[in-house]
Amino acid sequence: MAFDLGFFTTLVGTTVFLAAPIVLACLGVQWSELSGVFIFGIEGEMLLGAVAGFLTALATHSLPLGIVAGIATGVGVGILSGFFEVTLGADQIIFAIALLVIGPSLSSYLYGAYVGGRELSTFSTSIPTFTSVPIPGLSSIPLIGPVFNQPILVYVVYILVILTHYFFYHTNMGLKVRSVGMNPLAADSMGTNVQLVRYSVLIIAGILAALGGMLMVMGGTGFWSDNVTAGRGLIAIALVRVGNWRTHLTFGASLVVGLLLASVADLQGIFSGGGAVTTTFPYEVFSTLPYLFAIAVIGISYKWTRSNQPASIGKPYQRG
Amino acid sequence: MEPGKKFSIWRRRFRETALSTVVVLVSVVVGALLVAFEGRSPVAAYGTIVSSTFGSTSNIAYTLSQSSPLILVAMGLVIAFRGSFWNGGGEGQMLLGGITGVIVTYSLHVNNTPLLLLVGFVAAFIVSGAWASISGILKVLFGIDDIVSSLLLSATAAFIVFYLVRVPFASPSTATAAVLASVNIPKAAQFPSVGGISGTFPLAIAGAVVLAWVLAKTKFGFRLKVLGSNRNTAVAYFGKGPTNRLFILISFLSGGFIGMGGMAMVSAFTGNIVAGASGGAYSAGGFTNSYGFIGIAVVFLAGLDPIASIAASIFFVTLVIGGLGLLVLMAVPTSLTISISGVAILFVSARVPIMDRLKALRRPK
Amino acid sequence: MQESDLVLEGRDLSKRFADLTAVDGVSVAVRRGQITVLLGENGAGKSTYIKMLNGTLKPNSGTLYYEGQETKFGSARHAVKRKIHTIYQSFALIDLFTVKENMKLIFPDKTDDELRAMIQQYGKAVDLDERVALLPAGIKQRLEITKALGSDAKVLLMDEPTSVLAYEERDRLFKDLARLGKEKGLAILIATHKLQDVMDYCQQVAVLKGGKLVLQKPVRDTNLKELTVAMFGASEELEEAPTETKPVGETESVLEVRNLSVRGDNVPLAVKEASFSMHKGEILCIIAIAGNGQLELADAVYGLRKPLSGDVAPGPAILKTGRKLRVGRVAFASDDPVQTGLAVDLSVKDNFGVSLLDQTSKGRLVDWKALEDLSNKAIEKFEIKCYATDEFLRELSGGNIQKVLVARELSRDVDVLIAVHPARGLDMHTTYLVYRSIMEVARKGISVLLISEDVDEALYLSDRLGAMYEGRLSEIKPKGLWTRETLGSYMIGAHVMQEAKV
Repeated sequence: MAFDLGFFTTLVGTTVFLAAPIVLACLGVQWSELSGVFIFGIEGEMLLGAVAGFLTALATHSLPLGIVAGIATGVGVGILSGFFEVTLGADQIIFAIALLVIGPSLSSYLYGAYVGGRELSTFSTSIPTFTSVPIPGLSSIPLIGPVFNQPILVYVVYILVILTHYFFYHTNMGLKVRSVGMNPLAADSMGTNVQLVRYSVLIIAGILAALGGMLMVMGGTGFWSDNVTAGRGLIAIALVRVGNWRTHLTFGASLVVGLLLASVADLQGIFSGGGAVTTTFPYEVFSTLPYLFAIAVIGISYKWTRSNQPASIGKPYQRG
Repeated sequence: MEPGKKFSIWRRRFRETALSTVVVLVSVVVGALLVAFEGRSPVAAYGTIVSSTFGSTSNIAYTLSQSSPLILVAMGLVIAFRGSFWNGGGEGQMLLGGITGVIVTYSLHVNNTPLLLLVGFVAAFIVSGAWASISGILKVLFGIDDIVSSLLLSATAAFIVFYLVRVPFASPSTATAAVLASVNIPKAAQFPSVGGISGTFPLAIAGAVVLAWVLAKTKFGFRLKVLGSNRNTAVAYFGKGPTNRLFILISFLSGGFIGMGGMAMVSAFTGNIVAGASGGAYSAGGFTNSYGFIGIAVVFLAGLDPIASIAASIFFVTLVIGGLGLLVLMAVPTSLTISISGVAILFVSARVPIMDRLKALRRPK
Repeated sequence: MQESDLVLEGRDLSKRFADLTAVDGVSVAVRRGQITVLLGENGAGKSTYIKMLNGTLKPNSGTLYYEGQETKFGSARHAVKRKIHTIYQSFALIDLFTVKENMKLIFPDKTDDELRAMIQQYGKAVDLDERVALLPAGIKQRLEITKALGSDAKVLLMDEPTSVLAYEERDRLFKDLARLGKEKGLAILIATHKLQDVMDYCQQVAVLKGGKLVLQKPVRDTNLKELTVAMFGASEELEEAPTETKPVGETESVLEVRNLSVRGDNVPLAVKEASFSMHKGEILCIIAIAGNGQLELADAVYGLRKPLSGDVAPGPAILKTGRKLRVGRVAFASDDPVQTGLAVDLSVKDNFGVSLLDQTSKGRLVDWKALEDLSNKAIEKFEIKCYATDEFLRELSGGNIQKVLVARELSRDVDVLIAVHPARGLDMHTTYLVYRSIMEVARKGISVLLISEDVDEALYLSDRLGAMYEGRLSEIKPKGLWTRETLGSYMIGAHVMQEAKV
């Protein structure tokens, strides 16, 4: 393996690409949690958005339509979450578990139901995937060029990160949302409609989760595999805590995870000699790295990054 | 104490059971709708479910036997949730218990069934318990959310098991490369059946009864209940150190029972562990039947009561087996039945608010 | 009195919670330019009434009138939109945010300088970038007033505003309120249980008792005696406090606190080198105004907080017996009416078991019969209204829930009992029950460490007293050596200033 500039450059590009869905999930978690609502079930939301987008793209041969369908699903799940968690005041952890069960199983079922009955020879099960769009000039910068040679959705992710940070920490509307997360009673008496704020952020989080799921499906091979999100949503939850609910640290941590994932893919290729079954080397260890990293990193950072934790998180707010 | 008002306590218990029944019915209805959407007749579908699970004595025996692993998993989750340990890592813990059972019984080279089973179950208990207690320790020492860490650890455990199945304990007779299977447990390690019902069933029932007794009658059970209701109360009255130790113990016991569920699965049903492509999240090829997650629905439907969990487990197993029956006979995939369990959990999440609203409606204005 | 003076009026308002009628057909009005007082003891329904006036709670019956028009408020923020502002005892500020962030939530368009000017107008100058959590109560109150008046409030409702203030702060508050009221034509309603608040600055008084309105008239037409009778009804037989103080120094101590320093949440040092000892069967009271370190001291003695230096140790009387020191605790915080020490999802019996577990167990098993007996005895003694010990704690009314907490601690077999504001929020009758029980417990030989903020309560119950101010504990002297005046002056730091002079 030649450790030349080319290798690193590719690594950079893959890192950013693999980190993007995690970043989207992190943004979704941030939006939801800063208003005080847990979203541990985000993995399920990602899968539902992914399957909706995938099947629509498959049926219509149109990627944009698929994205629209995925976003619509995200909105739907957001409204469902809002109804259960905000209007009814359901237990947010149990609701999350419900999503974690429904997400993989329902998406697997829908895929099987749609594809299962058809003749495989006349029917392709893959969809057109995202193509990379290089930004002229920037994409030829040595080493970090690939940062600017990504599918459009990844560029959108960059913009969303900046917008989210600006919104929450430099606008009054963002301040209002955070006040709901800190003390909904006080926020209510200061004129903020707590229920409306929470519904809105849950819908936005749903959209972000759906986009994250879609990016994983449509950015990859174009084929569906069950449980395609593989724990990205979980990792995002951990990373948001590490980042103390602020966007910059979380984004940085996501890039590290992206790097790990990119390395895993490379290392796995090296050590397994191409075939997944033939060597005795425990390359599965590499697959565990992102998860272990997530755990390690919340633990280490606990002492100094809880200052921004929304105090009311997990508790429903209801009028007496 | 007014006699008329004691009745009101029973009324509350009745309302809780009624709500659970409603959840079950709604799930059944949703399932029927999905099946109809599939293009099949729901009536026929449910008929198939009922007949393949309770249609004959051998079917009943089969259904009851199959419920044993789920009952054991449910016991682990009852301990966890009653003690405020949000154990989302049941899948991984079950896998670890299963592979421990395979490894231990395979490596022992002994032909004594009671010994093999004893060692297998104990080893599974310890390994899975230790794994789950990592989440407990992380929560106590670092404040890491137990549900997040248990889920992340579960995914990690799945990879560890993948490796163990692929390399050191791979089945010598793997037909295709796509399906990874581990070695089989020796015949002596298969759990014996009595009258068609697997011995794991009375084992699981015994476990449930013992657990119910411990929770109701011992000081340990009482402290667990207090910790589960309000951690601040436990800390203020039992002390911070003892409360933390109690929490870690709870996580260990929880994982232990779930691990035993994995061992029961291996010893009485599958004989080995198969790592494939599909299945519930984080499971290796459907070995767990998503019991780690379904178990959560089970225990909440049962109001976190060990004995009621037995009934709830049998109900869910009916869905799963019936689902398998449906798969075979009517091509309705198991993923659908698992989704129905998920919908049940959805309604369970809103249990308390719905009950409160029903109560408010009844009150005279 | 002109009709146009009436700004906000609640007519025949009622509110029920489960089996409890908190407010029963009460009509109170708030007038422009006047301060109306809603007077009543704890649990009389004042807070509930205010919450109906400002939209937080929906009345079960009755109507609201705002500026002569019938009105309904969908939620708290609707009332705020109509310029009805409320200042609660636990302020509606976001503690983790800075002053500036809190103000920006309400005044998004004002500049920093404008905000500073506004804050200064209604109180003292404050650093905009300071976190609200670190500010003293009096300043937080001023911020709340600034928020209300800066939004051109027409009505100001205040729930127990003087409970967190020291004497002169209270005077200043009322003076400012009266002035601002006249200047801006504000209609002000204050809910309080302190009679003294009424007479000097308020124009109208309404007395609530048990949820009903028992008296409503201009202040100049009434007097303290009439108000007292209206508030409390027939006076209870108060047991004569024992006049001979227990001889100190003759008995060995049960508990020793030596040079204890404890860190605070918002201040670096909440307790500064406190030392005292407790003797068998005595009631030792530490009296202080909220926020002077007494809670942290109690927590450290109980073991909830680790001290920075110094220690808490069992005295020779305990060391002799060879067993561990057993300490019980009943504590009520002002902003947590349903205590964190209570497991509301468990039954009443379970909650008793939390403290009484050691007394009602056989080896590793719980002796449910013994627990049931003890619980029933306590229920009877404290007149707790519940149907059965199996009832879930959350089904009881707030006052009864509090009684459970008190009852279980006072039934415990301990050496030392720490009681922090044990009767806070309880009505007069129950308060006396609690006092009697505390004295009974002391007679049985248990040492009681009483933390109080009420001079009358302290002088009534205790054998020895000390005051605390800004973390410094004064000398502890027998009751007979204190007067109300000296106690009051030590509460605002006389001993600290003396030490500073030395």
